[in-house]
Amino acid sequence: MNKHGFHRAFAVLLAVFLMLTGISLNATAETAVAQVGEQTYSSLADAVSAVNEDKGAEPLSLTLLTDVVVETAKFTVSRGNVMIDGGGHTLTVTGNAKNDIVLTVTGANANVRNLNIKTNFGGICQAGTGTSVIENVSIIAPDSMANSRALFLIAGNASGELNVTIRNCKGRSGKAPTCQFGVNAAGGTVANKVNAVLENNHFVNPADYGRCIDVRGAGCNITAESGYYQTNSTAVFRVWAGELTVNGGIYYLAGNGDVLLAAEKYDAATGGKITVNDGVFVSKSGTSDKVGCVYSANGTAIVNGGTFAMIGSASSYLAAKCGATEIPFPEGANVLAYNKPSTPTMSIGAAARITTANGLLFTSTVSKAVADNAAALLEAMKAFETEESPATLTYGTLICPEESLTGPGGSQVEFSVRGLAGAVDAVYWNIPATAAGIDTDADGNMTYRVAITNIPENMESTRFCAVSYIMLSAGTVTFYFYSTYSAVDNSRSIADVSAKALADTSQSFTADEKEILQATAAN
Amino acid sequence: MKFKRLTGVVLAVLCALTMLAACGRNDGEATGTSGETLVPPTPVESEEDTKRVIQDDDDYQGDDLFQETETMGDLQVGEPDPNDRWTPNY
Repeated sequence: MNKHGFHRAFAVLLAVFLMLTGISLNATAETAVAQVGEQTYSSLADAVSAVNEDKGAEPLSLTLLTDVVVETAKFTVSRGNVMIDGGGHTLTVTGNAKNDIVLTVTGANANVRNLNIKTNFGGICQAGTGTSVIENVSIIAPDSMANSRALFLIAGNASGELNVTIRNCKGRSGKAPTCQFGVNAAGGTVANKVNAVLENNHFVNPADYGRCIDVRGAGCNITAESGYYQTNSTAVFRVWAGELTVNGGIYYLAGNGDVLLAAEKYDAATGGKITVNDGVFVSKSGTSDKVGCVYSANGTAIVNGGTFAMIGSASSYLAAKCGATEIPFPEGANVLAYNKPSTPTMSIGAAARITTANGLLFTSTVSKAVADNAAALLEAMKAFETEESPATLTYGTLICPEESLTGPGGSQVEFSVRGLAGAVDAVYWNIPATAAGIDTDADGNMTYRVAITNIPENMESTRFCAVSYIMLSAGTVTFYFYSTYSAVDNSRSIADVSAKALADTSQSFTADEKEILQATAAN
Repeated sequence: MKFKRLTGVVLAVLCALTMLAACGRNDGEATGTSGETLVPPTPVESEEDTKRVIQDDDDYQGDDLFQETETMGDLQVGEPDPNDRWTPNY
């Protein structure tokens, strides 16, 4: 056999072998990095090409089989009905090409899940249409990230409407990007409409100037249901155009600015609109030229409810300024639960002890809704807790003789830790409830009590006042929520209570019990 | 000479050990060292500790100002004994 004949025979044999084994189509188990349908590929680029070359309409999946490291990446998946599943693996892009996006999807109904991306520039761009879910995706950039691309860019597509849900995703950008999550961030009155829902994400933008989320597209609707969103300056959310509705979540501005800023004009006639129904909004702003946790600027802001807190030094700060409508913090307070149940309740009156020695009992209740509200604020406060002073939540009671509420010149001071500090010769007890001392019913409502016992004879007519409180502290910050104090309802002496108990014909006290009550009852 | 030098070394070591032992002795007061995590006292450990007098508005520093009062006898304030019985609220 001559040389050419040998080559021909070898080629035929090889072809037959490959046809029989299928190795020509699949990468080996050792080299496979991605799979499309049943087919494996030794490069992600080849797998993406295979997806785009598939002209079928049925759902198709591209699954990452291992961690992948590439120097540059600008993958575009244009096929519709596709699921890009990272399988929990990490795609690391080592290059530093500014303003590039690692992965762009442009088809209808394209989904991405279970993918970690380490990037020096942009992350994922959803530029498709239809219904899309981006879920369990983490995009992390180093502090040195030096461009203005968003990690999650929801661009939409002029050919149709996009309804996208971003759920359980995590993003941490570098210190340069102006926004981390952009919705139609290119701006303009575009024909494409984007409806985005944010659920349980964790986005942090540590940039010295930048937002966590920019919304610019007129006609876009963003709904934030839950999650944690933080930035260092200007605004956590800035709605230039389109609409943002906040139904929950934590929003922390760690520097100067407004937590939610609705809406400077950006190629839009009316600017953006923000509607706040719930959520926790914490600002550390220290500049007096900023306005509030929520500020309408040139756009529209409507606040229906939420918890707002100010931990910075900007004394003129408001909880919200919605056009001419201002929602201030309560006088002397830096936290406001607006249209939300936030305070404990001190039960009317007091009870007398009918075992052994005398005693006076005050009872506090905390509804589940109030407890949930406190827990949400506590979760937000973890953003600024310290090792020495972690975020803590305390339920408790302040008790004092009625005369301790007297301030200078005979005035009445506020019944609070702050008010008592300004009282004259005040004596009071601050009794935090212990875990063992809190009864929780089946619906999650809590009850705790404080007793004054062994009241000496010279104090049997002394009226003791009680107020319930919820205290939240973290780092150098402390917030209080007090029950509403009423001298008529929440001030009692053992003599008065014992007398009323004895006069209560609906009760059947034993002789011993009556004897205890009679010992202190007012004549 | 060698003996004197050896005696000096032994004395120095003994002194050092004595000083270390003295530093480590517990005199019954809570003392913090740099490597120790100090846990703030639980406010309701003792009924007496819950009595607080605000002496001076400007000097108010929270829990540092617990004091006894002279006219309250054995009065105690705290969470009730779960075995106690109570009237309804009036």
